[in-house]
Amino acid sequence: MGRARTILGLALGWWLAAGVLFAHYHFLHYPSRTGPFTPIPEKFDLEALPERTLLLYVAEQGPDALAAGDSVASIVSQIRMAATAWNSVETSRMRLGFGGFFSQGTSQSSPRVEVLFDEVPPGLVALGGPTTRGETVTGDDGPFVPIIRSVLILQNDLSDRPSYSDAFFLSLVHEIGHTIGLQHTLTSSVMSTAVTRASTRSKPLADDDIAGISLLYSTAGFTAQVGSISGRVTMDGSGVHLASVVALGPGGSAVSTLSDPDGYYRIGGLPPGLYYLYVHPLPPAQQPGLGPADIVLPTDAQGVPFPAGGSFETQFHPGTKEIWRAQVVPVTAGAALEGYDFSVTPSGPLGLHGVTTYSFPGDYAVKPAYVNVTSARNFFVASGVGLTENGAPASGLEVSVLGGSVAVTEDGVQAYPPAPSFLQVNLSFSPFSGEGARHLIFSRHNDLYVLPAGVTQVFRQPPSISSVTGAVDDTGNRIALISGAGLSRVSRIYFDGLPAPVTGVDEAAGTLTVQPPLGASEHRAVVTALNIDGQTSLFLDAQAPPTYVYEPAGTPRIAVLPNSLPAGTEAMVEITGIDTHFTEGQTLAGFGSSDVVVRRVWVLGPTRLLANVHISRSAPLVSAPLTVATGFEIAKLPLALRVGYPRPQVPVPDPHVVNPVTGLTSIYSGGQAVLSVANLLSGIASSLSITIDGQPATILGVDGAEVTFAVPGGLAVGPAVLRFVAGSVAAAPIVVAIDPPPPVILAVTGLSDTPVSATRPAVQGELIRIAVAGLAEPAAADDPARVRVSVGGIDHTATRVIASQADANLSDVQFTLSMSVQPGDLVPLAVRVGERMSQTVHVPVRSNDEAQPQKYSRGR
Amino acid sequence: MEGELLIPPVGIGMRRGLSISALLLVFLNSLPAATLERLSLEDMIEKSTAIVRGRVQSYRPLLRGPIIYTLYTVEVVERWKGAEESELEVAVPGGVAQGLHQTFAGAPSLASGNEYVLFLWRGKSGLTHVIGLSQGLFRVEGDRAYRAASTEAMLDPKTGRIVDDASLRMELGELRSRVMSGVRRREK
Repeated sequence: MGRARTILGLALGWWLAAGVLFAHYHFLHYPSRTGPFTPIPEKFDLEALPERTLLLYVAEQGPDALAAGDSVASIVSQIRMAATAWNSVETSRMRLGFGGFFSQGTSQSSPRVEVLFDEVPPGLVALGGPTTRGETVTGDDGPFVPIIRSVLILQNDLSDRPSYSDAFFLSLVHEIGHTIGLQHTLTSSVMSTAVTRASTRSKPLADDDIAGISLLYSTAGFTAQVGSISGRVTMDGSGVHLASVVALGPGGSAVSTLSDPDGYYRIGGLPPGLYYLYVHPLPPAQQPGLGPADIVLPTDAQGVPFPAGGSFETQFHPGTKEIWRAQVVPVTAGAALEGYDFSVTPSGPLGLHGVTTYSFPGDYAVKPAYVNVTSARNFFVASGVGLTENGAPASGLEVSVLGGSVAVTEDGVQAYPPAPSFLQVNLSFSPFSGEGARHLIFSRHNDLYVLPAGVTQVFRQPPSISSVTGAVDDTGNRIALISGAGLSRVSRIYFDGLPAPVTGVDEAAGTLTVQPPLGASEHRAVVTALNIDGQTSLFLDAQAPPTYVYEPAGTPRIAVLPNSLPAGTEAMVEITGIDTHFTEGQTLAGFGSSDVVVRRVWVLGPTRLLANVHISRSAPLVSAPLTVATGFEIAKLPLALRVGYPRPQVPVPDPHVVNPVTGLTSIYSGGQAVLSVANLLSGIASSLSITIDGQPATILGVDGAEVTFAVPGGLAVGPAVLRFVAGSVAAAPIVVAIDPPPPVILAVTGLSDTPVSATRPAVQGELIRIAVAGLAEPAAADDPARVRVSVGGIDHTATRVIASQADANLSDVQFTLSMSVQPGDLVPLAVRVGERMSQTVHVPVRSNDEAQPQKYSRGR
Repeated sequence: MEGELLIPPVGIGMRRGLSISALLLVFLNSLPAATLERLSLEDMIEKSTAIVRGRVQSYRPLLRGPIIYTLYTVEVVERWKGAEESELEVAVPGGVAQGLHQTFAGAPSLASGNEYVLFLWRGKSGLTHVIGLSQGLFRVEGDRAYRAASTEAMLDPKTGRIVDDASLRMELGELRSRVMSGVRRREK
């Protein structure tokens, strides 16, 4: 793993900014104190991570004190859920996982995140941040400073901080964001502070968060799917450093960036759409030496920070405080809009800022404000600097909602009667308005303050759970019956931080049947419901949330073989358990060390696992502990695997066996595969042998370290043991996954089932159907997103997958052809399920505009 | 979010004479930087193990496990709470040690030669921290002590009264007086 790259000092010459896009804000360095300024971010080198997965290791020595009824297993489940939130960003290559428990003081050399419970002073709940060596390297995306380790510190005393709370969860998501290289923003996203954050457990990430992580760890083709806006912020003719420029989109979307020391900015990662643009100064630093809004100031090669620019008046582009005069900026995929400059006016201290909004779905205030248009409480309450004076709205204060669907009523701004230091804003709603977040605009004299997604409009009350009852279904499986209000088949149920799939719905009775996650003996889990409108059951149930207590059970125990492996190896281990309930898709394993990493686990039964383990060459020669978690069931084995001296004379096969036709890591019985082998001596091709599950594989060729072979026929789909021998030296066995054969495209049709052809090309925006044989993905019917279609290099998610009634091997895959697909006569199209890819067919594609005249002409 | 007890409305057009002590917003009163909990001046007085006015002399790094601290040596000019010491070391997370650079958003940076009022808390490890990362740090210039203004209204969870956070820029004498009064109240 890894690739050759150049280690550069921070005296790197300037790098052309083309291809380096930034939105949001990262931990930055600039190679020079004079422009043009090319930002060098701190981020993890994904090529240095096994499976490009950054593992979070939780300190074995947990917190000193827990909230009543809480547990380390609950905390770990919340950490995993927070990691899953970041993993849901499809345009980011960063993946986070749980690596197990580690003992503090254990030497680790590979990149990782360590979650610690440590003493922190009162007033501090958690903090997270990256650690680097301050060196710059060059990757495919340009220069960066590799993060070698991040720490996430949680308070040692969590007795007042139950892990089930949304505040705890969102703090984890926020701090994990810091550990992977994200700084604060002021767009009400999860990387904003809780003062303005509009995230909920149901919708933890906003567009700015998605842009921030995507730009740092972009997937291929990401920049082709998004647009950017750039320009310069000046004041009295000079550039303003750290001016926040925000692109406001519909539905509460907001993506921002901060200007460089010369005032130049570029907002990248913008989904296509229409935006308003505005610039605002950051709230003042809490302390001298801190950046405004506690931004960590960028530094130069000597570590000297660049000071922030001065305060100025907020304005919309172009140069107006009136939203109705603001320019609407159309952003299209792949387009880079330039020249959106701001000339700002100096100002004194911010008169309006730091606004928090609340609403009242029940007896308690909820932050952020979710206003149910069908209820009588059609208002929100706000606090913030400059909103009220002496128990009344500040003189000259005006509040408005961006967009026409929601409006502030006439005389709708008043002091909140029970607490006049808070502001009450009364709203009216258009009968045709839809659900979603709305931006708020506060103005007072010359002060202008925009709160993105300040209020969210919904049409129903939050869900509420009145009871959780354990039961057993007809097949003897444990289930739970969730009763309450506002629950539906699209509600998501969580036991602490672990999902409980909904297996049945009785909407009339308001009951869901769910499959609880595997539990530990007598574990007490708090049950929450998350609805797609962003509301959660904790909006109403927080003071006494419903719980589910697992039955007493034996303590799970595990063993691993082999229990010793050399450093610098890839090998299979077998893990056996007693009183364990290993389950495919729920069980994960970790050795608590970034130098001993589980690449993948296969569940062979409730008490047996196979796993591929990677041990880095620089792994310290110590014994690593093993953790196997299945739901809340956590089994630990200290000193599980002893790392021995490296054995450079032994070949090391890479478990990422590649299909030479597709280049993907999916192989199948009867197909071909390429195995990369480290430490392979040259000239011994004739003495190599490969067996898979005991069956010999014909070696087709050797090219350096790559061995091409024919996968034996008749192998069952699933894990198989590959053994490689070079001469008389046997490598450690590894596990390879034998997949079904690749899917086969049989036909591509458009509207009215007309086959796509030269005389009837596919049209951008058209619903396309593909008849596919051998999709072999039964879950796709319920989750069509498992199936992807690539057309002209543009990745599409299937919108429907329908299995044929007549032939179970046939499927109908439907998707909408993206407007981003370049028209042409022979545009490549392929269907992909995971790493299995069909053959590539070529279809003609026409643009939507080009297709229109033909349609009219047909009618004449 | 959950756990907040802002007085709910009773009904449109109705008023209710509820005790303002039902108001409780501190639980989720978070500040920029890390995940913080807002502390009032009274809270800081109560929770501090020491409150000093001091001048920063020097600093050095400390690597404690995976966490880098910057230890500032502070010459104590005045002691308002805590044991008598002429000098103490204050630990702030983040810094540079053994070739490693560690960053935590919101961690303050103290300047050598500058004078501060510090609300400090000593942990079991023996390290002395600034309360609330930077909340307990007031820059002293001449006869004034200041910290950036609060962004939210604050309520004292015990009395329900609004905490006047405008006093974050005040005469040094006034700050001293408030602190000493608070210390004396707790000693009774």
